[in-house]
Amino acid sequence: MPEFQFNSLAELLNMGGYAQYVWPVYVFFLLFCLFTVVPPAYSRRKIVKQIKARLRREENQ
Amino acid sequence: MWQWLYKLGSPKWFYTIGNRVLPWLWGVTGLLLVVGIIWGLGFSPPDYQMGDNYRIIYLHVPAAGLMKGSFYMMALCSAALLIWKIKMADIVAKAVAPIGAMATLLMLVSGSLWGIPTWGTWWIWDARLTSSLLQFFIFVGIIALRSAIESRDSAAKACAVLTLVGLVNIPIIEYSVEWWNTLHQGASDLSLRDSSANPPEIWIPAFFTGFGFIGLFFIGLILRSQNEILLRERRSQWVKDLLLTDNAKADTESGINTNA
Repeated sequence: MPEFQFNSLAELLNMGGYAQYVWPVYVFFLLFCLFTVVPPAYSRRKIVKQIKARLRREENQ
Repeated sequence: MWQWLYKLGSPKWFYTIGNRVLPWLWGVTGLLLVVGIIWGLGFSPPDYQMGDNYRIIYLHVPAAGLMKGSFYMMALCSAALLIWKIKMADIVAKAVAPIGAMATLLMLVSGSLWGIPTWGTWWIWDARLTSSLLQFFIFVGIIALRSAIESRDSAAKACAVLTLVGLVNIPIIEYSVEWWNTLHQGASDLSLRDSSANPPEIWIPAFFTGFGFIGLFFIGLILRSQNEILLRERRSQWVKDLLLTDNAKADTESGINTNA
């Protein structure tokens, strides 16, 4: 079983002195995840709304 | 297998299968990424030369893989579009391009941040880095080209041709570390041999994040493709049925009786 390598949370955050390089990469990855998921989910709602609005207009005619 | 692929070529099928696959994909991807990142950040032993800084590898290498993978996917789709005129292939190629571009950016940024303490510089115009930057511009170029051409069919063909031309850069990236003297190291030896520089404790988390990246890629691919399908098929009967039953369902759920 792999062992936890740091003695405290502060030590984990410090990343052996490389905190300013390691953490930004992981933050950027979080942004990458958000980019993959959020914009398409947002446009899905918009597209569905538009098509529904059109269908309703056509129904009423 | 072929029949299955053939069915995926139908937008309606792709849309429905996508909806069925997505929940599983969400779960598996989330699990892989969480396990891989926690393991990689906290549990794998520090490198004897780079200390804890090497932990960037758990995102840098998968990002590089995703850059290559997305471009292969786009190239396959482009070929399918040009040879067999499969419309679905163009939809997928369009969906993958922004994901590939962002993966390349993640690779470049993580590489730079890794380079500062290890190489003493965040950027150098060596073959690996320059060809990777070029790859980013190829992705951006393909996205820009599509939005610059108004006719959808012409845009699809132009992008497919540009993608296949851009394919020439992939082996250059791949072999740059062998063909030229680069500051970037060669491919890592991930074998189980005792002489291997990388013990399993170090690279196992990379497998988790690697497969997590693949999952993330397919989530993005499905979501974006489904959007494009809805847009292109908005006048077809199945989209109407889909959205109208959606409506009815939402109405009954909120307690509104549409027949009243």
